[in-house]
Amino acid sequence: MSPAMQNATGSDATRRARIVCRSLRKSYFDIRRKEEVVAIAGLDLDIADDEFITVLGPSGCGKTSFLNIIAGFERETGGSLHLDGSPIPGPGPDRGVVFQEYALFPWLTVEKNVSFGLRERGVPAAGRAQRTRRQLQAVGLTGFETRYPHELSGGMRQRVALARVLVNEPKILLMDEPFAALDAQTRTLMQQELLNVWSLDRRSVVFITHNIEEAILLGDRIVVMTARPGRIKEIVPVRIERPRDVTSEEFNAIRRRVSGLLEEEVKRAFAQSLDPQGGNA
Amino acid sequence: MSEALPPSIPVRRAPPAVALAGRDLRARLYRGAVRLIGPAAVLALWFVATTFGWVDNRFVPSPVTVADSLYQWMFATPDGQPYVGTWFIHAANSAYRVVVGFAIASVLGVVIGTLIGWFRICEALLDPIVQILRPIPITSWVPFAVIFFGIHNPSAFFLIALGAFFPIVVNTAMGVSRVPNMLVRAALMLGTRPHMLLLRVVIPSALPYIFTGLRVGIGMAWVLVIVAEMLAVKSGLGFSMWDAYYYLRMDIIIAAMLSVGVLGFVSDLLVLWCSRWTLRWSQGL
Repeated sequence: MSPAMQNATGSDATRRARIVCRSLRKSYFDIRRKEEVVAIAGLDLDIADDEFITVLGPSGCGKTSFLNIIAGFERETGGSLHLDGSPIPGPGPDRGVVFQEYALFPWLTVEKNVSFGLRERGVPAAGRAQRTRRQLQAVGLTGFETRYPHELSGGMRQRVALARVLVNEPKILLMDEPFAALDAQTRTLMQQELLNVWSLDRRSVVFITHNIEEAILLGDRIVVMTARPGRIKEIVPVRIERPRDVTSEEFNAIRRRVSGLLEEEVKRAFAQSLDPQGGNA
Repeated sequence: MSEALPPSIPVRRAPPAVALAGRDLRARLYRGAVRLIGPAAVLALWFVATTFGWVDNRFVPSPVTVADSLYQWMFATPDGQPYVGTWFIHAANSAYRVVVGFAIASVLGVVIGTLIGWFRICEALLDPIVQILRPIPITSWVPFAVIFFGIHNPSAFFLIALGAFFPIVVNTAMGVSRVPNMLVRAALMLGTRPHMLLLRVVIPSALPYIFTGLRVGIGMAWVLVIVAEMLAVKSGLGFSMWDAYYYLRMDIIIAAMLSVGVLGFVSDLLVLWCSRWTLRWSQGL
């Protein structure tokens, strides 16, 4: 086992690994450039069943591909990814996805959006209503049941998006830059609410972000990815008690370290983008 | 107090709510009145032109004559004459044909449009047929309609359904093909089984397009019911129009034209209300 791999997979042995990822590869054919593009070039990572992982990396480093593979939206082209010991069969309610663009069903009210998954899975109406109500309460949406998504602010919409996956009680929560479209205040609020909800009922979270502070604030571990082709550059554990103070010395120490790591990769990604050959070394 | 403010800011008390409501009502009445000016001018011109002999009254009867004929046609006791008290039978015949033809077109248009928009193979197989047939004027199908369905209702159903089908199928296919992939993924990850996607996500998401098709379709249906009744069946407002022409009853032709106009307008409103209600989620999107 290489040192890098040890680093990548090393979560506490006492916790159960929900996701086991070995030499994961994802490449696709870029029709415009007429060449193979490697999005992920070998990724090893274990994610415990109560672990909050944040993923940082320059654009195009395969963060979203990684999340899409876990979600079952895309297939890996090499290596393996197991969820509780089995390969991913396709998208399913055990893996809830929160999209940056909310992706709410605009023709359904808040309540119907949240109960959508329960209905699709055949949960009887009585239990459905109760669980929906409880979930709406948990994310602070009581009183908004009959509103349509277009009547809500961005923060409210993202609460609905979170509620509709949590009501399914997924094993793992996949979040693809969920707060990137929100203003700074709303974003801070949503981060706190997410941590509240998660601390009440811990489950695996894979949270992709561009925001270093967000990554440190939320994550048990920060996975810093390299520029394309995406690999794990380093995994930075965050051993700070929650709630975390973003101005504390230890927080800033991690911030400095992560910034340094990320900066190198962002520069590399930028250099690649200037290279007409595509920089797919 | 007020002199402390810069002169460009007018100091004004908010008007009481009652006065506001009154002003709102008056504004609405005013806007309504303005909209009547155009039609009233046309009616006045028509009246003047026919009363002062600018046009031959045998060809363009006065609006008074038309109103009287329409009244006779609608409300007089039927006495065996063709245009006395028979309006409701003809109007009902036309409306029945529109409803049946439009219903057939709606079902086929939405189903086939969904197939074309969603399944690539259906698009490849069906879309070329639709695109080639669509520009052909529906009137050119009349001979086939009469040969296959005779001078009976099915002939009219066929022509109306065919005319309304194309706008519905084309709009549905467009709406379905534009369903955001993100919503499909969202449904799948929430537990929707793949065979339920069409019902749960694709069709609801395409509804604004489908309703656009339905509105164009209901308009086509009224155009085609007149064509069908002039050429392929022996009752209805279109038949009355054509029949009246043989007797040079231009008053009846105009009365029938106005009738079709009103019925078409009302059926469009019905579709519009259905659409507004169904698409209440999309107001302001």
